Amino acid sequence: MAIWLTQDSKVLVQGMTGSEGRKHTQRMLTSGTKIVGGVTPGKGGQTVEFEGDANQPVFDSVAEAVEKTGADVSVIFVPARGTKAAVVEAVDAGVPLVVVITEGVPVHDTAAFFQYAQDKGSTRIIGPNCPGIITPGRSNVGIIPANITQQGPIGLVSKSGTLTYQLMYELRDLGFSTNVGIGGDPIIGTTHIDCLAAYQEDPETKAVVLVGEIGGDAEERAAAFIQENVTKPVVAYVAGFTAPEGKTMGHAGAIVSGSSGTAAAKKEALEAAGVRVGRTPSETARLMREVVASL
Amino acid sequence: MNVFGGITACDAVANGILQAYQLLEQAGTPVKLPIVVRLDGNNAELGHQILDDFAATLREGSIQRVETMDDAARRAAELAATGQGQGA
Repeated sequence: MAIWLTQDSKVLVQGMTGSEGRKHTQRMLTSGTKIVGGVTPGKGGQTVEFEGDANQPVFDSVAEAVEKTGADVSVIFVPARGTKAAVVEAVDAGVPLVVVITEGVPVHDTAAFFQYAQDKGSTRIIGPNCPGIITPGRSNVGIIPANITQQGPIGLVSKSGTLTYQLMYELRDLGFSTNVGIGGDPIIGTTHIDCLAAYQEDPETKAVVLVGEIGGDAEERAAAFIQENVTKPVVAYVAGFTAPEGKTMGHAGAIVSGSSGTAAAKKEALEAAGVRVGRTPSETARLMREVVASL
Repeated sequence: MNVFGGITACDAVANGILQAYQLLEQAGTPVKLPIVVRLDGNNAELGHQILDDFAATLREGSIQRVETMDDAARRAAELAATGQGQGA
């Protein structure tokens, strides 16, 4: 099962003809993802060559690509200035899952395309500014390294790409159902709560790792959600215990404002909801090991 | 420096450290503080090799390679606390 992404997912790459799009399409193909084509306006009819006899057709529009290929996922490697238009096009084409890798998308653009997708009600957006989603061994959409872990019982949701990789690697012997990098921008599509709800329903997922960081109140809201709705064990890590107030730490959304958004407050809220919180990524992995051993 | 090589592989990071060292040397502002490095993930072995070869050409302790993120944090804290990080 896993969540949202399976071995049967048919994936379009918006921006496949660009250098990043091309490089990561090759990586996704190599890790087993079923890529069905690319979209670049004005380059329809071209073919992009890939190793492994996996050449890909390019279409002018997402609508045309969906009609010809039956794609049900689109991953966006379009530069920031074109990202909003690219997402709107995918939403209009009715693509159920749109993964926005692009960094530096204006917050106002994200607000607009996310609201647009919500109004249409048929598209889930992951990102922007995220590493994507991987269901190990089956499909990989985005830029997450595929060969550092394997299939297994743990679900992971994270704001941080690198901490996702760290935990995937530390727990590689146990393995993961799905890993979702939701991104660290102030406004994002899919949230911790969306992922927790999906993992709770997914029979393959037995336990969940949640990685948060300073800024906003997503972790506090996730804690409240866990308290009410999640019966599977959850282990968490919150990055930024030593972060100074008022300084953006890497991600635009990662900032402690006054007394709100601190790592300590998030840890406290999660622990109050019965979540075990590690002090370091390695300790978090150890806690998850104990949880899985006791299942 | 703590890197889990994903998209940016470890050999690229190691070469980046090497080039930064050389650039700063040429600019007359050489690196004086020890650097603790943990590299894991994509092309980690190649990155280790590049760093180890380069470190062998420097004063001992200039680049200290450790295996895990926890070790790196511990080592950097030790260097800072004991003043070994004062440099030449």
